[in-house]
Amino acid sequence: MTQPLRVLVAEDDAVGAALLCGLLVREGHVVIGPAAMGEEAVRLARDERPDAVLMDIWLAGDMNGVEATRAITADFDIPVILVTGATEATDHELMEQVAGSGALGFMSKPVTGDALRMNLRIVSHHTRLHARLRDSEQRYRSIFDNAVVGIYMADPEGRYLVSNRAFAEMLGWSGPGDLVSGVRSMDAQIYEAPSRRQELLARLRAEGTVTGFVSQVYGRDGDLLWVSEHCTAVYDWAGELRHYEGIVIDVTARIEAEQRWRTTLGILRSTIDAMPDHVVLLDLERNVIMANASWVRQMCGPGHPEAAALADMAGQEDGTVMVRCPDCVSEDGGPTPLDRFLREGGLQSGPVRLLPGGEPCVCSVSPYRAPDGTVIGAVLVLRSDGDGCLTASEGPAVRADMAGRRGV
Amino acid sequence: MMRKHQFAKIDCNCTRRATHLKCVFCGVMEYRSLDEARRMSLGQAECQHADAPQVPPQEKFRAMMGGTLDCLAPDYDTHFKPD
Ligand SMILES: [Zn+2]
Ligand SMILES: [Zn+2]
Repeated sequence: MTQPLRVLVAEDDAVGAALLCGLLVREGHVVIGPAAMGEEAVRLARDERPDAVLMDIWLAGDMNGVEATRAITADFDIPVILVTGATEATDHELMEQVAGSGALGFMSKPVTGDALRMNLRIVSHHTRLHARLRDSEQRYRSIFDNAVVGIYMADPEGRYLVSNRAFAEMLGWSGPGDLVSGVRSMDAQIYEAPSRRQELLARLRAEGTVTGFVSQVYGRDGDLLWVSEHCTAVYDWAGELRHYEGIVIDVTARIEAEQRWRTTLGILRSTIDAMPDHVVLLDLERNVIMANASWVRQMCGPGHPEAAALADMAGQEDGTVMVRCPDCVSEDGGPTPLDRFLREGGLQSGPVRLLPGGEPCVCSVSPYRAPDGTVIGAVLVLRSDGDGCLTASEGPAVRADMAGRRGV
Repeated sequence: MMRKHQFAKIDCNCTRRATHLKCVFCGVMEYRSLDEARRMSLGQAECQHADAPQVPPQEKFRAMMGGTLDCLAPDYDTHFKPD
């Protein structure tokens, strides 16, 4: 038993109409009409929104059944089943029109209960399928439209095919349509680096998916911004890249913060490198955590036993150096300021001689605290007389020189 | 000298949905993501097993200054897999 449907009957012959209506009612369906004219059928379809339409090919009035079918399927998306006489089924030209009308089913007269039941079952199935499709289409559409990340589809020639609102707005275009028609070449209008898109395409062809692809791109108003793209290739049947889909995040704020941070770090680095004193940060086990250029130069001086190891570590990006604290002895032969600091804490200073060589220095040690206030290390400053001052630009050069001296 | 756990993925039949990680050395289990294992605090990271790797002084110092310790074993994906 098919679920009850509201069926519009369009039939100008009173006997035929009564027959169809009788069959429908017997099957438990609700009849709308009958309409005798095409125009009337279209009006009823519009006003009543039936689940299905049974339509005779020949109707009274100016509009025949094929034309009415075309109007109803196109405008209201209601399934139509055409009904025709046996002689008309042999008319090839007419059958061509029927096939192109958008009708879902076709029955010839006299209509039997079996044929009607079968056709209405197809209608029900079609309606459910359609509703599901429309539903999921709307869900995806809504995710796509409301996403806060940019989503696009592009072809390998450098044009956007589809964009969501977020992506268009990210780049300063008034909407997706504006972006898709306005960008004729990503190479000229989007990517700052001329070969950037080709790099992305090459990686897509090789890997299929590319994540975290960070580029500088132009907005509509000429502003440069940083974006991170996550792209997936879509291939055609021959395995050729047909287009690709991208998810885009604006990472301008992050990249700019990183750049500011790097600049600040560079200033701090240059500042301690500019000091003529040897400055070194130690943990409580006398491990060197960080040192300035003057200290690295002192420790890697010719003949220093740890020069090779130091040179290896000095090239590290953050400047950490994997050696122990410089060996020194105090002028009076007792504990050094560092010894005293590790025993008693506080600020310690006094004259020492650096080993090897015995260069005289003044050593001062001050506590270094973690954010919670606990002492976790010490800053040690060795000041020797007659030691020249390193300029800011000399610092990195000295460090690079040290790193280059592997295997000394 | 401080030592740190080395976590690797392990299969588990229980209903917890987090990633199951087990230290290759001391066997402790943690319900954490891979990313969390890459960024552990000093307290979370410490392993008592004598064969666990030592924490380099620089990494430990950074952790005390608010940084984190990487406790993911190099072969974290395959270590506990029967092959
Ligand atoms: Zn462990
Ligand atoms: Zn479990």
